Amino acid sequence: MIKKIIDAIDERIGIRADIKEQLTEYMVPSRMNFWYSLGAVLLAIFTIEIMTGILLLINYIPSVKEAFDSVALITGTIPFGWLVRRVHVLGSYLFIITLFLHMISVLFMGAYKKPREIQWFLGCMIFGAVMFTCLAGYLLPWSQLSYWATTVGTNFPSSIPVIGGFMVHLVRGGELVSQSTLSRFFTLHVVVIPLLLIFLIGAHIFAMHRTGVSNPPWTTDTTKIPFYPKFFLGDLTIIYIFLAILFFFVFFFPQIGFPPDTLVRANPLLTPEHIKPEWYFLGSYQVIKIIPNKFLGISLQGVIVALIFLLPVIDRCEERRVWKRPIFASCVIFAVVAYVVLTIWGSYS
Amino acid sequence: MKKTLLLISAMLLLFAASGMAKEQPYPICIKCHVKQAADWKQSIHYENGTYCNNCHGGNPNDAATAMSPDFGFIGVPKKKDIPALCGKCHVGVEKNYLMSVHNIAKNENGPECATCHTYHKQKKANISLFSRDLCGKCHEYDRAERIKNAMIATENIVGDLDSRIDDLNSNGYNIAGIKSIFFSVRNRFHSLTHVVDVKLIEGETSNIQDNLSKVDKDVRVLEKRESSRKKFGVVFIGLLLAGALAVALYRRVL
Repeated sequence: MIKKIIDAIDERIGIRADIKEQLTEYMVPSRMNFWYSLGAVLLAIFTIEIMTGILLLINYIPSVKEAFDSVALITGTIPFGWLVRRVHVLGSYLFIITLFLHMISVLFMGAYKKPREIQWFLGCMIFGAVMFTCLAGYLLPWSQLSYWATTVGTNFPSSIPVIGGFMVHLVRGGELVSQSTLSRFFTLHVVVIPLLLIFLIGAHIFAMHRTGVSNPPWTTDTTKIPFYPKFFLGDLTIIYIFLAILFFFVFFFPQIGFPPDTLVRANPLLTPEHIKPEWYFLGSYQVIKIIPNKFLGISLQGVIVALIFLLPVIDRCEERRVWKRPIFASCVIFAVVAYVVLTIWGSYS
Repeated sequence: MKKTLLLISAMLLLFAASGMAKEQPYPICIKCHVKQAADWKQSIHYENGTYCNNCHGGNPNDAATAMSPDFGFIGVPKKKDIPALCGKCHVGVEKNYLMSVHNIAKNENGPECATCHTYHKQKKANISLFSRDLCGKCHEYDRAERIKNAMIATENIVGDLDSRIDDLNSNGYNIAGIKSIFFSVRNRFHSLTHVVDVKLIEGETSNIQDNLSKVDKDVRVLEKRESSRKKFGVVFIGLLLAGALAVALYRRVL
């Protein structure tokens, strides 16, 4: 019966040929390793985030009066609501870590170079959109931490001359973080950015198909083999392992996603002792703290982001082997170490 | 390569050093009242976000109005006014203290709140406050020891429940209801201490323990739920890893 339906569809739109051409018999380098599976892992976690997000949306109420209670209802009363929320929160952490690893591997393997510049640009945009959707999602539970971290986070643009005040007002929808801010962030988090991400990820995969997967720079063997079954199963193995890591934290260390201030309802009149952004913004937060001028701190980070984004334009040398690019490798290592140090420093400062 | 590494290390050090001197004190009072601030930072008040102005009044954000009566600044309270000052928040404690011999003796240099709890370094109250060193400063320890013995079993239950509720809280459980009841019972128990009456404490203990056992029952339900979740987690993670292994093995034999 199912075969008949598939045959009927195939007869009309030729689905089998497309699957063969674009997926099962899509040719990839035979020497790919673990690092090449991170894209598939990201796709799997993104799917989980969308699914858990939809489930949370059923009971979440985007109102300053009811948001906190609706989240408490999800975690305390709705069957498996606790699991869905933990997976959504900790899944976002794993998504960001995997995205970091994916980008670092691309840097070390020189996979951003011609003809894959467009993939790099799209990847950077995906990274930016993910960070922004995480920031927006952070406010939704309307807890003490989410309220005050958003207050601090949305205040950063105020240091920009002339338009700073206007930008803060635009982001918050008023002078203070309020219902307007919650409504804006809710719309961004559940509709605008996910749709943008689906488009960007689709475009990223499309570009990858057009250019082909980059050959590992450590080998001269350019043999290609079909994606299915060897690499499909390889990706599946890595996805299973990443999911095991995710669920290990979900079941045994959920508190890393829920510090004490996330369990207290937002109180605009009571500032908590330590207001800090989520861990992935701690590096950025610390840079702003240690540079005396806030505008300078933001500008410096803007320049760094621009340099990273424009990397394929700046670095036009064709050499991809990392051991032949010691200065570039040192810069990447320095950037990674600096980010880790600043993040740890930010969490203790 | 060595030069690059040296350069990286130097830049990291420079980066680290640039932020060392930049720490913003808060509130403004602590710029001058350094000793009091150092004590306050070790207190339960500090942990719970109770600032200088909550007791002393004044504007903690502005030096010019920090000690302005317009902002309710009262300065250092007189000894006789301290129980009423603390009683603004610790209502039941004040009520019980006023019934005690400590209060009667207050005008003859007897103890007020800060005598036992200190002025700025108040810790979360527990049974260890009853000590020969502290109580023995004013009178024989034997009466205090009898009160301590009457309270110790209940205090152990309170301490145990407190840490278990904290564990549940840090695991993301909504324990607002449990915490509210526990907070109320614990406060009733601790405020009872302030009457310094052994018979009253013994009489109230069984009632307080009954209430604590109700809290314990609710906590156990959540602990059991957490334990089931962890067991489910072990099975689920095991299945994921088994899946990874099976796929990897299948891939190898292809």
